[in-house]
Amino acid sequence: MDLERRAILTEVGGIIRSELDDQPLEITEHTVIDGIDGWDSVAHVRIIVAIESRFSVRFEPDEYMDFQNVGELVDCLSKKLSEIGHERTLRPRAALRT
Amino acid sequence: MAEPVSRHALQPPFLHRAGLAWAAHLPEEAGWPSDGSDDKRRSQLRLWENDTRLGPRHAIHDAIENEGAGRYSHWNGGLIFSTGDGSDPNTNGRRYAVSLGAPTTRVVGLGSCHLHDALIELEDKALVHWAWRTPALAHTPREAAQLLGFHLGELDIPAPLHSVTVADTALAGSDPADFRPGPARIKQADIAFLEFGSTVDIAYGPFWLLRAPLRTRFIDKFAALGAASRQTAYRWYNQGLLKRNEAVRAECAARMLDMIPRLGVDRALARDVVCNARGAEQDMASVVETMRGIRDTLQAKATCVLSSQNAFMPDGRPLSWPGNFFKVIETACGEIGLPLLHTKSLVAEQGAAFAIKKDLVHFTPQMITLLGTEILAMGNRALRALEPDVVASHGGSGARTPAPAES
Repeated sequence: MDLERRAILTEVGGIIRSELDDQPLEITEHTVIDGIDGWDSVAHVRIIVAIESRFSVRFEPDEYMDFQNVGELVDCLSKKLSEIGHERTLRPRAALRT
Repeated sequence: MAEPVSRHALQPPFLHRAGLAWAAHLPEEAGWPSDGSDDKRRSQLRLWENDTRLGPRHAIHDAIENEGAGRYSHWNGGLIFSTGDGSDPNTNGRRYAVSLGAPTTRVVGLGSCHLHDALIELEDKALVHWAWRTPALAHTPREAAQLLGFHLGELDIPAPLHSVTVADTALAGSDPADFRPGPARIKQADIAFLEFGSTVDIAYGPFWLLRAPLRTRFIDKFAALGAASRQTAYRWYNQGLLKRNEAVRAECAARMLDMIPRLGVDRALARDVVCNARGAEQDMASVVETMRGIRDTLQAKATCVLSSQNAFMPDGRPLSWPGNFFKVIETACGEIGLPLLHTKSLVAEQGAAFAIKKDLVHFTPQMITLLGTEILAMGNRALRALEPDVVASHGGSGARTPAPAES
């Protein structure tokens, strides 16, 4: 996994843990969404909205209804970020950490 | 729709009951069927204040007393009503009259609360006669087919299972004969409305469990035991059943069995449901077959389909399960030749603030009103399409046509 994709996965994992209020939750690309405790339709809405807000992107219904695992979500997000310039999107949060 | 020509004047004095509620003697000739405990929406009586029709009708009596604003109830042969502005009908100088405005369009509907609410409103406006109300909500084609078969007396379901397969809790324990109104009320309506929101069912032996009573009668009771129980029950339902994760289902079911003695429900049924319920997604061919069967059974002049969704994003985008649901329902309707209205499209047009409540699931009252208008227009278009002359003049346009105005 390249560095940028890893950064996206880290951000997405943090959002999922935060929205599900489950900080110890381990999130990898292979984590199956159906297998995550508490990820029901309401949580799905919250997570997608939080990711859209964080990365300034917008998923289409066909996209956010079809994610089977976190990797697919990251794939879709990466594609959108590449279209708008993901470095610009990721920079503010990274800057806050330093 | 033409309003009836004959109005029957109500003669004062009107008896003050309580709050904003008044009682009136109905004229002898107005011996029309009234609402009662056996059918709370039977009456077709209209109440007029000068030339303004009051309503909503079928109002509960507390609402008439406390909220007034024209609410009224034709109950057990009597009339309890409120004036339009809360004034005393004995002294406000207005004339009060009743009429019987039977709507001419007979409809049936199988679907969610959105469809039911829209049909209730259309009936309250006397725009349709809702010939048969299902006591339970249906979310999938197979749930609807099961309700239809049971209420027609063509499908036997053991009485202990009625509460989770065909009826809501209000009807549980009633005489099964009450659930079966007979084909005369169910079949051959002018318009049949079918609303579906998923193609994933919850199989239970040869039957399908209805989502709403499963939630209220079981899952909510597990949830009331505490956070851990709630999480287990929701995992069982959402991931184990609806998403068909067998490992999660089995794990949660094992935990839930230990909780059942604390639930205060029918333990044998609860154990059986927890152990034997399974998620089951219907494939395209089966969806088509089921929908075609429902259409053929209902024998309505026109059959119209609505799609619904599990929830919405805050900006109004739909969320449905399974993810391909809208494509499946579109393809099925196309194959059978049924008109389809995506309620998500109405939400997109009107905006989330107009259409969706804060729970991101239910429609607002104004959206229900719009939905009623749209489905009636869709139904009327489908009826007109059956008339050869009208088809020629209208050209089969898919454009929306205005619904008949409330008279």
